[in-house]
Amino acid sequence: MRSKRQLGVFSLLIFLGLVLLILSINGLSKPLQSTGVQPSRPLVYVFSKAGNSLKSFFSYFSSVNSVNRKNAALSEQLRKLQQENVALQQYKLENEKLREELAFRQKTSLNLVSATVLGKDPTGFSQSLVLNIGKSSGIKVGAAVLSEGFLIGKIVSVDTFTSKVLLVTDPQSTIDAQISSTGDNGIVRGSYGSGMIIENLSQSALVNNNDRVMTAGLSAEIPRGLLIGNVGQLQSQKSDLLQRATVISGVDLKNLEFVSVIKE
Amino acid sequence: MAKIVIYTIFVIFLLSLSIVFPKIGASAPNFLFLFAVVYAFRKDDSDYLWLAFFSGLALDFYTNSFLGIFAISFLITAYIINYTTRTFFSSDLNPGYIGLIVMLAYLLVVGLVYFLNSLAVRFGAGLPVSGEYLTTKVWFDLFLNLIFALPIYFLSLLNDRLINYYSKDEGSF
Repeated sequence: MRSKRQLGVFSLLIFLGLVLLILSINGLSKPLQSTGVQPSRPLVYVFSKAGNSLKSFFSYFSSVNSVNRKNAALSEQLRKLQQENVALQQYKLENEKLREELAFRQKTSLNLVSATVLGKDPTGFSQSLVLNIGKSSGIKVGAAVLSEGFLIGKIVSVDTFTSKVLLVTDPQSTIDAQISSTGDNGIVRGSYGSGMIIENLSQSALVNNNDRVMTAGLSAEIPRGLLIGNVGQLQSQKSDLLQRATVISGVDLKNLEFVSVIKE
Repeated sequence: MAKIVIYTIFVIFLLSLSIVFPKIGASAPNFLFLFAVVYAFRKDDSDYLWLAFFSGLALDFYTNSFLGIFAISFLITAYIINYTTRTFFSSDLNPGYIGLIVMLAYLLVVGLVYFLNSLAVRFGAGLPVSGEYLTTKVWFDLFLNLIFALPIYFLSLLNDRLINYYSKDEGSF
């Protein structure tokens, strides 16, 4: 009897899952996805913040074990001060990042929309972010996403109030690029382990360490001249037909909080 | 009602934990997967099916994949675990045995996610899950999941205690 009930629930949920999958394949699940993310957003935000505090608390707690009992009162005071300090440091960091973002926005002529990073892909199967802006802010699929003037990815899906960004470090990401000093064209591709590689550079191209890598502007959505990063190490041999080199982004892609999206 | 609220809070909490948890390379423990597996191992009623489905769906909302891929994968895995541990194998608590279950279940989930994703990509437009991650990522993921299986098991016990406590309160009203 019990197993029949389980089988019934299982069949019902499989059916529901398949319906969602079919809707998703046909691009009809956007409102549902948007509705699904919206109610959990505040709680995810609160828990994420609490998680960060917990992390700092546990690192502190382990150090408290080594302190003797007589210093317990002082330790308590120290703990409070440290927590306060962590909070202040977070505010400072947030402030600095906002200032850097603002400084870039004041310099550029691009039409930019500011966004806050709501979350990252928790599974790690793709290098992506969820932003707090969507169709309602005029964001479109394919739009370039910048942080402190560096291209960090492009929009791959948009809901009413949120959008997803595929980072330049994801292996699915390819961007037409060129070495700014020589104008040699190549393709910047994400690689495993949060890195980037510029490839398809002709053997005659002069590639030096720290050369700037910019977007080539061959696709309509990503304008020419956006900074992607600097050339790191040359990976190809002299015998290779085409050259390839690592590219190092100027921003820490693992700790993004505020970004800008280019609006048409 | 209390049960649904507590389950929802736990799922959102574990989702948030997955988001803030630092990744080692591209690897990270999948807390929602562990929660679904532990419940499939422990429970006899159909709660574990709902939990597996909605845990997967929560991941679907925050990943770049097609909606339903993780939901279906978690659901099938949970059902297989529950069925096999009650029909062919034992459901006794034994760390080595649970480790083996977690390992096999994770490989099954990864297989299902890749299969459903490639199926979805074939039928519609979208980004395939990167196969480049498969070789290195999955084994380290497995290791991290094994480490965190026990804490999540205790979390599931806490969850049950809360549900019992608040359900009693509901009954007295």
